[in-house]
Amino acid sequence: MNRQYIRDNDVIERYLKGALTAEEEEDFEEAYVGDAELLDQLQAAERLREGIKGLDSAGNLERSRPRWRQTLASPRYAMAATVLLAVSLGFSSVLYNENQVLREGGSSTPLLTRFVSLESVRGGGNVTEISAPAQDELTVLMIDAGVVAHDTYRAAITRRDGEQSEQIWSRADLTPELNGMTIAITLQGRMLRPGTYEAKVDGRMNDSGRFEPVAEVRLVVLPRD
Amino acid sequence: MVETPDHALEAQISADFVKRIGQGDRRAEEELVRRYQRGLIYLLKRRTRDPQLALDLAQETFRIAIEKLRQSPIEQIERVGAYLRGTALNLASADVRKYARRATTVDSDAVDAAADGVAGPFDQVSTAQVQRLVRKLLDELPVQRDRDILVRTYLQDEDKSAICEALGVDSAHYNRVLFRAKQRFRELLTTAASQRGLKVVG
Repeated sequence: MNRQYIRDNDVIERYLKGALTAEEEEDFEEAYVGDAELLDQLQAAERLREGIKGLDSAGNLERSRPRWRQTLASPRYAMAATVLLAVSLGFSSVLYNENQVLREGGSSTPLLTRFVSLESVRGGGNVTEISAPAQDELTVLMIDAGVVAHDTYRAAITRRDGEQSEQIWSRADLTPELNGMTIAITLQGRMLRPGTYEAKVDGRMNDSGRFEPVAEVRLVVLPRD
Repeated sequence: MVETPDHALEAQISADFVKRIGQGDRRAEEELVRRYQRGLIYLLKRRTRDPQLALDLAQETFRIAIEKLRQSPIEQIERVGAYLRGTALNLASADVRKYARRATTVDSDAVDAAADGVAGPFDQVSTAQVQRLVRKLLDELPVQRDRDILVRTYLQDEDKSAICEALGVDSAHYNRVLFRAKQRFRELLTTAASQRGLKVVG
């Protein structure tokens, strides 16, 4: 049993909790009996395990995500919060537009904003259909950022037309809204012509150095009635 | 980093011990005990949960092994580590407390020395101090997810695959976090042990 195998297969951790196979246990014990370096690693891990258990027993260890935070991070809560945000932002938008109209004293068409919640298609989610927005209408795509919080996000929206595709929008360094659970992307109406669109969101942990997929959503924009 | 001896290297080391002890080399007997005693006593402590019995059994194991090595043809022991482990566990599995404590029949200073100097470098760091070091280690991890990896691994005894799935990380990331955390904790332990005036081995 070599060091690589021990590391890749969590042999030390599994040994400490008694989860090795009989053959692995025999090999590992034969290895550490005559290897001071490996024995040091084993004993350090054992003390780390004792220390964590001791901290927890003493009530000095924060357990991963309390239940209320899990609830906050759940998609159901995210959807509810999205609706609330949409209502409040919509209301604010109406007030803003009314103020704008009053200030300008004109009778131009007020600016409209539409909020669209999108579900990830990974795992067979639905495709969301909307009617094409007006040229000056704002559309805010609300995408669930997932349960796992990443340090930074990037997103891109691509229009699919048969075998052709065209990226119409992209941005890095995005910050999730709503307690870090929703990526909000605002698009002008003229960008969403009738057709099929895909939005991809990737997240990155600071220490991993690479992005990983967070959400992939599909939107079909139908011609206006 | 020193690699774990593979079977070929262990066989080479074993052959050297077998040859020299067979030739009556007392220094080889001492080297044998020095090389294997800490690991053997650790193993026996885990199995018996009785430190004193573990020491007794280790002494008895070395007595039996040296006696055999003084007489055995080379081919009978291919790997000394495996042989010592097997002998020690056979002794431990029987009710051997009385047997292990009887007077040794082999005249060897090396066997007597087996009971001395067997504490590991981290054994003398107190439980309270270990908890403070764990607290420090956790505080040094900038990402909650990485702290969760440690807690789920060592407190909740979850499997790697379950942890990776729950936290949305891949196996390589899990390995990296665990490896770095253990390395750092070992540094903290080593510093704490040395501040207590202990000699750190390894």
